[in-house]
Amino acid sequence: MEDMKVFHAARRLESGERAWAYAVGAMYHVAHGFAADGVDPLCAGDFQKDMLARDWGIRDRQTLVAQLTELGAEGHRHSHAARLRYYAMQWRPAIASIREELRALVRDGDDDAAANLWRLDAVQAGERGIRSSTLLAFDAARGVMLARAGLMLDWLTEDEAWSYLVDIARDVQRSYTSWAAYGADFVLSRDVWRGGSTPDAFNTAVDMLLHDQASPWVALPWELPFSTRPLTPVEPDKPMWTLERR
Amino acid sequence: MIQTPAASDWTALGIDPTTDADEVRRAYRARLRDVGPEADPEGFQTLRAAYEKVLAAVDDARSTPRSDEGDHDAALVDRFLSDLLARRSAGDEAGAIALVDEVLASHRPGTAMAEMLADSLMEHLSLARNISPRLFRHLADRLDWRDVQGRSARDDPERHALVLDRIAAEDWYGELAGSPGDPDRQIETIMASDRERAAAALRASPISQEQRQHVRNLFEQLMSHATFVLTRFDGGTLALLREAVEGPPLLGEPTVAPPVPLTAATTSPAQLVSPQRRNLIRIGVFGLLGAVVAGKLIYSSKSSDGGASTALAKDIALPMLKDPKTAWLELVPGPDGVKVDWAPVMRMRNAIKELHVGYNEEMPTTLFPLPTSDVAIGFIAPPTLTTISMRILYSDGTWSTVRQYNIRKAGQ
Repeated sequence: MEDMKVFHAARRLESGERAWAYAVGAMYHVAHGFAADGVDPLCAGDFQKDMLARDWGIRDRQTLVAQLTELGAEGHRHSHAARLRYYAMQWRPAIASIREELRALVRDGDDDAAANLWRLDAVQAGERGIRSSTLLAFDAARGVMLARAGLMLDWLTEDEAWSYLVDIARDVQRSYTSWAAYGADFVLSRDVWRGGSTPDAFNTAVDMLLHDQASPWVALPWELPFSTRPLTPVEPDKPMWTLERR
Repeated sequence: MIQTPAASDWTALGIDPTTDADEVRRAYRARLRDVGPEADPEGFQTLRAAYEKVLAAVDDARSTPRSDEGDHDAALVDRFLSDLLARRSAGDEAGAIALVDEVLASHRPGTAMAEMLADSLMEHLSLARNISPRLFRHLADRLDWRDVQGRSARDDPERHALVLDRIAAEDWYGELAGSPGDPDRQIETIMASDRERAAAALRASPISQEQRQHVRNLFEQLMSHATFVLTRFDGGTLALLREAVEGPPLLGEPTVAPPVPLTAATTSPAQLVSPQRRNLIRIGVFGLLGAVVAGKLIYSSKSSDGGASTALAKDIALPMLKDPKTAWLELVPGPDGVKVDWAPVMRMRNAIKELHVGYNEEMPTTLFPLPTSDVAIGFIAPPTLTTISMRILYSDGTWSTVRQYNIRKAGQ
């Protein structure tokens, strides 16, 4: 990722809801060495398959669709948001006790406890608006990245991939006020997921996307009007990103 | 649309794959004792999701072959559920509710089709995690979900008990958030609002002493309904209310280095933390948490009310702390059990570099973070807590001896 840069696709998506939806996953496109504003079919190959199998346990269309639908309904955002709110409302003696219990487990080599200790401390410090975040951005960006991989590998049809991507975009647009706010919450929600905040390639990618002239985040207005979401039948073998608010 | 349970679902329930629904329910009840919604919200969600998925698959597998008419009705129900899911996934809450009303109205109550529809909604939506609150409340009102002796309750008591919990949570939330602007419900309005509005309201009208207790009560109620409604609250608002009651948050420090060995033994701190000890620490944690939540605090500092700090100056506190006659804790037997009051040691905190404690252990190996300002610490000791050991690294760099406080003896 040392040579990470933002560059145009050979065939850029025309400005519109598809371009906007694709830009929601731009941090992954950039970090993976792909164009940020268009799906280049020449990029399909071993990288995608290896990454999907290694990081996600995805080996075919069926497992990809299941993962996409899970991200669309649940992801990490709901369980992490519940934990952060739980930490936000605990009284000080309880915080002291939880912290000590976690520290004891950390000394015992428990990585999950270390992540939870970071989350607990970040909530107490009110770091980067962590107490109020919906944590949607990390799941949304990953949904776009997986759908892009599905498109490149021909595991998803154009229609089902773009229908899924545009629904993610609708969810993202109604939840944030700007590309900057979305990018910041991506970094935050990813930090919550990994339980730490050491800057890495994704911090750089977000920063580049906010400033680079080749970035779709610079080119596309946040308030792009989206078409009314059509009522389409739900089919279990197709990916679904739900817009139902709970 | 029945999902096939994954291996992790069976693992979550702690049983091998089975088609016996009763075994699944028994396993779920057994696991609930360890993974309760309050003690481990995330674990409970995982367990509940596994339970729903497994039970749905088991029920589906054991369903008897249907007649042609039954097949037709089942196809209609499947179509209805699919149409409903299409509206829900599109975010069309009003359309989903209208569809429910339309379909329920087209079948007379008591008919086989009406019962099949009700059963399907109970099975697929009553505990669905991503259903909109308004649609859930509508279904609870339209169907017999509130009826403790209705068909749903008789058919699947465990599921129905959880549905009743969810209804109670929704009713509580509806009441809390349902009267914005009511001057008699100022705290409720703040609690249900976003952080910016809550901050403005608290700036305009700081909460009174009486309202502080009300916040504590509301937080306790929220914890009892947390599984279903916690994420609907703005965590920033909850933190603001907490701070309005007890002051700024207890900020963390870098993860502590292993404490100085208390004896000449070469045992590492990691080795000291046995599973049994972790359980005892948990006893302490949840005992303290439970006491706080239950409002059984017995020490309230002046500064938490906005007054002066009760902490003694270092040069006064140090000799007192070293004096064997000075108690670090106060153990007061009462009708609810022994009250453990940390006020004495907290008053002398300016002369303490590190405070180590142990629950039911001779050697106190857990580092207790000292508050930088007055904070109420005290709890009713749970029956399993028999001793508290303490050792202090004084501000002059010397160590105290280990002191043992016998809870059981104090209670006699």
